[in-house]
Amino acid sequence: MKVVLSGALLRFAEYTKEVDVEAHTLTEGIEQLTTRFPRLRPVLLDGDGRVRLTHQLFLNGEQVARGDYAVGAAPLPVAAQDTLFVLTAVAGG
Amino acid sequence: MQPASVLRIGMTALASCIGTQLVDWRVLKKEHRTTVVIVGVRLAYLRAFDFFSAPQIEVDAGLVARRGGRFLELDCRLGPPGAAFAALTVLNRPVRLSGTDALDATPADLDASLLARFTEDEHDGSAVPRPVLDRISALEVGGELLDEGRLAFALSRADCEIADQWQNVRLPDWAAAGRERLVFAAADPRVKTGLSEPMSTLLAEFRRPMYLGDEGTVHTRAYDSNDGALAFVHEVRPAAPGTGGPDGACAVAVEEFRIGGVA
Repeated sequence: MKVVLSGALLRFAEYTKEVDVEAHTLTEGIEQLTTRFPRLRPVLLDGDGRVRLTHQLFLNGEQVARGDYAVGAAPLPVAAQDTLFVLTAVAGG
Repeated sequence: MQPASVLRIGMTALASCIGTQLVDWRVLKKEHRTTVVIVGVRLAYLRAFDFFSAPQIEVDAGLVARRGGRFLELDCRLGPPGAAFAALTVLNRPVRLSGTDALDATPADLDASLLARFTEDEHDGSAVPRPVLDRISALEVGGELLDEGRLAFALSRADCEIADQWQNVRLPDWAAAGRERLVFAAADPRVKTGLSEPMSTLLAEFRRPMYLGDEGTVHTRAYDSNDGALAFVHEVRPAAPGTGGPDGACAVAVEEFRIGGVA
């Protein structure tokens, strides 16, 4: 799966816009992403490892419902050709 | 004075009003974890004004809490004393910072302690208008579509603020670039009014921010309003599929040019 990061997150990912991860589920993909870029973890995930409410995920152009990646949710399968956009909803700079 | 310059002055006025009517910006961000983002702009040029019109201008500005702190509205008038040449209204949405280094935030109404700092006459509970949508609807129904075009752009850091999110004050320049491209390529002579006459109004609505490195297009349509104005409707759309606002646009703007110039 290809993960595309938005500008507000780029500084925590060494300004890498696109990252390839080998994942079978969305959660695995996020885990690999934050393992590769450890500084991204506290920005993207809260203390329970959930994606913060301030960020939104779009899988192949469709917004992923928050319930699909909540703790305890059924794993959301992803495929190698999928593209996941990770966007910051709004920043308060 | 170009819209982007008026808007930048408006942002300085906003910071000043927040400091005097609420609290120091630094306190607002650090202690209240609150800041604001622009969601709407209305700019009306009231009369002709150029370099020789006055040696200096004054900015008369004030902030009003709307809908119980859901929005903060800045009203500004710019010009020499008693002779304003521009009226600017900027609608802002308070947001609550998450506390991370990304300065990521979520919309949140102004908290009670801040809201209480506004005087009684600085509260407005009336509905917040959406003049951009109203004007576009009127143009689509009663206007004549003259031409349309697209202009690609990419966001550099020079276009962004500290969180690498776009500066809203850049929108007028992107809209102008889209309009100018249309004017130079236009077959219909009416479209030339977009460069030959001064702007009379600018309306803008921001729906979702774009960020450093994002690519997008400005889709511009020119209308004869059939009520004496040439209007340019601009939709700023991100290249990444599905990541725009509800209708796909991150921002929408309407520029208007009164045939014969500012009244």
